[in-house]
Amino acid sequence: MTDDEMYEDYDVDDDSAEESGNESLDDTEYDDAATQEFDFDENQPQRSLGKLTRQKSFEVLNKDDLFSESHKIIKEVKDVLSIPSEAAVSTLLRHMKWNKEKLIERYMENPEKLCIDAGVPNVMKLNATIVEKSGNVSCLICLEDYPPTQTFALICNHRYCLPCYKNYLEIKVSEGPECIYTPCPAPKCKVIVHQDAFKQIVSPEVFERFNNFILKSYVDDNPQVKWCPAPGCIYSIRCDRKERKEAVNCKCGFQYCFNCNDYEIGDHMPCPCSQVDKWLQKASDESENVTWMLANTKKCPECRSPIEKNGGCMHMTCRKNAGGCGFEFCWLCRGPWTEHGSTTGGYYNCNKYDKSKAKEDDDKAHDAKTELEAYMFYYHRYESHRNAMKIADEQRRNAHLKEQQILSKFDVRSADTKFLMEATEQLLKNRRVLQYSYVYGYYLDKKSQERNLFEYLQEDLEKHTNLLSTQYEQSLDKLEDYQAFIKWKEQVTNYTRITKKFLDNFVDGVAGGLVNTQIN
Amino acid sequence: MAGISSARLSEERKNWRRDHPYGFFARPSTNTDGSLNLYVWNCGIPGKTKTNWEGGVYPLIMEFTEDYPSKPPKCRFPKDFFHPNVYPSGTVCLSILNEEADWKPSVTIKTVLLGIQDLLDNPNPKSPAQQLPIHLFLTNKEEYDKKVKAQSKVYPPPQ
Repeated sequence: MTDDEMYEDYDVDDDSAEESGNESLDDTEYDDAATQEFDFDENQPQRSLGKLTRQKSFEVLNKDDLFSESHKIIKEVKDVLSIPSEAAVSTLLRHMKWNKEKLIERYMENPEKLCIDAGVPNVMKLNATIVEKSGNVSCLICLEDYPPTQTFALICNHRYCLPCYKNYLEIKVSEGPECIYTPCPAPKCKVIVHQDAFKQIVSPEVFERFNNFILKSYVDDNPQVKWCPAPGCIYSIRCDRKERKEAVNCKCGFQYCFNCNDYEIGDHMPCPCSQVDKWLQKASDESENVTWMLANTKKCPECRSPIEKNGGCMHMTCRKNAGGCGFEFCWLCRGPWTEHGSTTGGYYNCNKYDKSKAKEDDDKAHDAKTELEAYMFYYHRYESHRNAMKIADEQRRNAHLKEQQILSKFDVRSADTKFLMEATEQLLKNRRVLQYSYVYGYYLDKKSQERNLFEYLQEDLEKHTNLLSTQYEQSLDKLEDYQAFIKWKEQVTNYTRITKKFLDNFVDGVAGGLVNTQIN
Repeated sequence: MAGISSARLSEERKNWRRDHPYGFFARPSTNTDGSLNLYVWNCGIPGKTKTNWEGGVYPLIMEFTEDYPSKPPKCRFPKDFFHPNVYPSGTVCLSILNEEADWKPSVTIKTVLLGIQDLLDNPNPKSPAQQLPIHLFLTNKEEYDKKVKAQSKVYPPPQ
């Protein structure tokens, strides 16, 4: 089939073309609203019913959202328990891992004990007042004398000078997240330095960091909110539905499974989490062995035990002592040794390629495929798509370079190069799904009905993804003129649409249980 | 806040000379040119009376950094000092000397020395630092006591 025929066959009509255009818009250009709801398949008209019910299932939170959420909780507790100071409530909440109900319950039971445990011995009064108006106070850190106005003490009345206090708190903040539980500098004193004290004493930059650590503890202690696992991402995502299968989309562009919450795993459609778990476990157990065996062994043609040849001639015996079957064969052609000898025209008369025999061998190999071989088959493909995905990711990040090249070589508008980004994003999605499709395929019942359809859809997706890959990677040098560029652009654009369609088919097919799925 | 370390150390020295617990000594070391080195102190900790440590004054070196008192000093007994919470190198393992644990900038040299004196007769089996002493302490108290008593003779009070 030529390329032309190909997209004649698969070209999509204008409506769905617009559809795919919309999607990439939605994916890349976020508005400034603080939160945004996503849905896995929000652009599929036939799923509009599902969209309504699922719309609220997750939301991306930025720092301001976290701040207002945590503040809402603080205000609630403050009102219920009639504690005047937000700083005191904040310390109490952190002590109770942000569990509002438990805090209120424990406070009602025994306020004194709770407050002492939390390091807030007196919720009504957080700092000690200066009693001795006259005379200087000796700071027990620097051992210098200071006028009382330049000192600070929590309610425990351990008084230190402001420079020493500042230094102490700033060092705690620089040491990391535990700074939100900083105690008074006095030996053995368990009173916790509250937020207002930090605000009063440390520099605004350090106070900002301190507040970030409070927000961090709010997220870390909250099972419904998790940080986006992408490196350097500042967003977190709230997901109320525990067993959400579809990926969530962070504003940073990273798409991943909320339950796994793992940057390496990412979005693992179409596999369920448990399958990915099992697969990764298996991969970590076996991948090294598998790689080594692939590189260094051949299988006994009879019993399929892997054999390493570490010396000697080509006459191999699958040793029974080592768990083999005793079969004797030729290392080169893997035929039985009985067929090698003077009567058959020499011991090493296996240098001719016998097509029919090789075919037969292949069939035999296929039939006798062991569990390990099957695993290696799937693992190899899983790895290949994983690597291809990394390449696609790089291409996506470098799309603007290609764009620059095009803009300098051809007289086109920047809107004409948008297809590059779309293509690389589609490639990335396809590779990701293909990668995990091999995990799914590995665990799919080998003889089931579903398997046929699964492999059919997988093949389509794989084939066209590879074609898109090849198209995209075409060297710009080969494009001689504007016409050639336009032709290439159309090809890439078309393959992007085609593979999107195949991807949707595939994902829908698997989601629909691989039965009664209408193939477009 | 560089600079607080030397001011604090000289102030501590002043305070120590004014008043310090009985039997202890603590003084900054002297450089080769005869000047004082405030960052390395030679100290002596007497064993508590009515314990097996009685009679010895155990030499300890305290090493401070520029970050003192934000960071704790390092305290070392002589190498191979016999105690369950002293590493074979002589370094003392004590929570108030651990930056991640109970160290606070207001802990003074005096607090540290008193803390170590207390540790001598009250080892903490939960953070062992040396094989033989902890083994004897847990399984053969008699032998352990013998070793401790012998050690007290090794470090007599300075004349």
